[in-house]
Amino acid sequence: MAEPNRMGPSPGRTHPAGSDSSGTGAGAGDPAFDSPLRRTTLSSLVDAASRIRESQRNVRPATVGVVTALVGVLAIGLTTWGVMVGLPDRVVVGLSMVFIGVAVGWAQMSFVMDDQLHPEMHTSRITIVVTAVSMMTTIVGVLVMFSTVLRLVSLIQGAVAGFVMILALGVIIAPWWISLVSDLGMQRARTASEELRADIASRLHDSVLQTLALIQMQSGDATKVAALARAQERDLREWLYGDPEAAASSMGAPGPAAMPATGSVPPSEPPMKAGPGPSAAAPPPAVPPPGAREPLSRVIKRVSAGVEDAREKPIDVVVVGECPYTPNLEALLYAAVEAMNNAAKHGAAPISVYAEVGADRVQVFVRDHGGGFDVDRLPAGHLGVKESILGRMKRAGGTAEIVSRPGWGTEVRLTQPLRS
Amino acid sequence: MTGEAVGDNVRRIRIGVVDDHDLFRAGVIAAITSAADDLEIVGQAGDVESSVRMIAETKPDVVLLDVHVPGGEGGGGSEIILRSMPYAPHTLYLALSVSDAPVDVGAVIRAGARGYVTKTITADDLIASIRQVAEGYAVFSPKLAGFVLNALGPAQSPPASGARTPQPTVPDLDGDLDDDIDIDVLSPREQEVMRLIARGYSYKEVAAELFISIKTVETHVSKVLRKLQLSNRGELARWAAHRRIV
Repeated sequence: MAEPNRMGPSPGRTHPAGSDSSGTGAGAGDPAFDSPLRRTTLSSLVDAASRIRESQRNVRPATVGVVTALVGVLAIGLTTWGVMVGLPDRVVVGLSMVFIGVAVGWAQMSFVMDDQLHPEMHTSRITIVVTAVSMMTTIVGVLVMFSTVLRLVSLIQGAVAGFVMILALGVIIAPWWISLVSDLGMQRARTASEELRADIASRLHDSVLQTLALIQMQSGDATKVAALARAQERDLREWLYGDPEAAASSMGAPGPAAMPATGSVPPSEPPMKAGPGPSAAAPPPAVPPPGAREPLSRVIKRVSAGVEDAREKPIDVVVVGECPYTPNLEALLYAAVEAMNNAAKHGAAPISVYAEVGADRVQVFVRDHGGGFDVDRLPAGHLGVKESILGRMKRAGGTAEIVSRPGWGTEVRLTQPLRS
Repeated sequence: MTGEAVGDNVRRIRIGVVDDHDLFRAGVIAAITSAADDLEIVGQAGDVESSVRMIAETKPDVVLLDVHVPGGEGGGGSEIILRSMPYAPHTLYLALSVSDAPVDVGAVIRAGARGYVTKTITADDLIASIRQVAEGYAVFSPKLAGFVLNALGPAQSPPASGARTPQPTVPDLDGDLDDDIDIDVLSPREQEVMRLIARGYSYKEVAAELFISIKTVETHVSKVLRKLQLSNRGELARWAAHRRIV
């Protein structure tokens, strides 16, 4: 997603909701309260949708520099041609001026100049000045051209007559023009809200309705139904209240972020590096595509969602602080997933995952309220804990500590120092 | 804000329920009345106006408050709190919502709610939370603790946006000083408590972990809640200003 698109809401697009999600005092009018639900969902939806559309648009209209250069080159070419053909000097000069005036006037049209790149072009005083200058240039050019065949007095008389005629025609056309413009605005608004509605409808159809259908089919299996409802709730909540980036990525391409609402095992792209052991049976975490610097909080939420779906046990996730997910956090993430799997398999609810990003380290705590076990006397072959958590963290330069007490539950404490 | 509302455990706790979903309201009421004898439902309402009226008339001890309630000026739960306060100054509020978006949490806590739990809470936990609020203490879920740490804690290492004032480090080593001076920063002890709650520890487990009494934990938590309500820092202030809640 290219960031330049965040430059500002485009004036050309008419959103039914205020297109300001950052909340820098955008409230239309000044109602004393505005519902955060309304604001968050609509504006983040619109933001997400428009961002997707922007990213798919590959033809970039020209910039100011390109347009200026093109007009200049063409004007010089025209002048050269006029001189070579042998037109009178005044005709050549007039012709060039008319060309420049017309070309500059047209260049302001949105299909030539990108209104996304130059949002100020359509509203500011510059536009008015440029338009006026191009009109003056054109008029002067025409006068210069005709001054070869007409005397000055009749030239001015003709100009005045022409001006009056344009004025009269303008008055006749005005009502039609005004209604056309207002119609266009209304139509744009209607299209935008229609698109939004269609987006919401398709989203709900793909997620909520499917889940409801699944729940009806499996209404006998209480844990299954609870897991389905939980997965759907998480999904919908992320969409409604989550960060618009995540919503955009899950709306645009159904990647690992958009988990199918069926509560199935997440797509298994990279295999776990742990080798044999209990972890081989566990679902691997959905790891982001390489190169994409995802925020750590989103990665942690996604992998815990994967465990939640696979094990059908609810997991509470709290992330404090934020940093991009980098490869040197991989061991931490895998160890955390292993701990979550163990908690969901052997422990009891509530299961809590807490991640904290500090200045020089990242910590993850996985806590369950199960029966606990004796850490020093692990049964042989308990590779999950020994290898996947303790060994992995040690190799990555971090530390892992497992605290378990009977009746209290188990907590796995993982710390990974950050090197920059 | 505590004071008179604090009662002994024998006294009945009078509860008002505000939620615009009839089914959910009925479910909550059924769960509460069937599970505990000393909890009494004195009123219920489904929108802002009738909620304010209900609270003013019945003056409940605790109001279970949905965050998104229709009516009024569109302010939902926080508007109800602000408008009811003059009529029922001793009523305490426990926010109950499906949303755990920071904006929503921030708004109703700033308006004066004593705690925030999500609607997926179990009936037992809900009743325990109601009792806690009725006794004058704050109710912190792991999510709310995480929210506090994000808003007031020191754990914001990479500057996420714009200018952020450098963290003042409070040389408050035992953490038990009453640091009323700086409401924008958690004391180290409060941070520890918040962190443990975010890690899924109950108040009892926090107390055991830090070798302090449960009462002390509750005091820390209440202090954090007050800071959350008074702080002028960053995001909190912006939400408050945006919604005219100060």
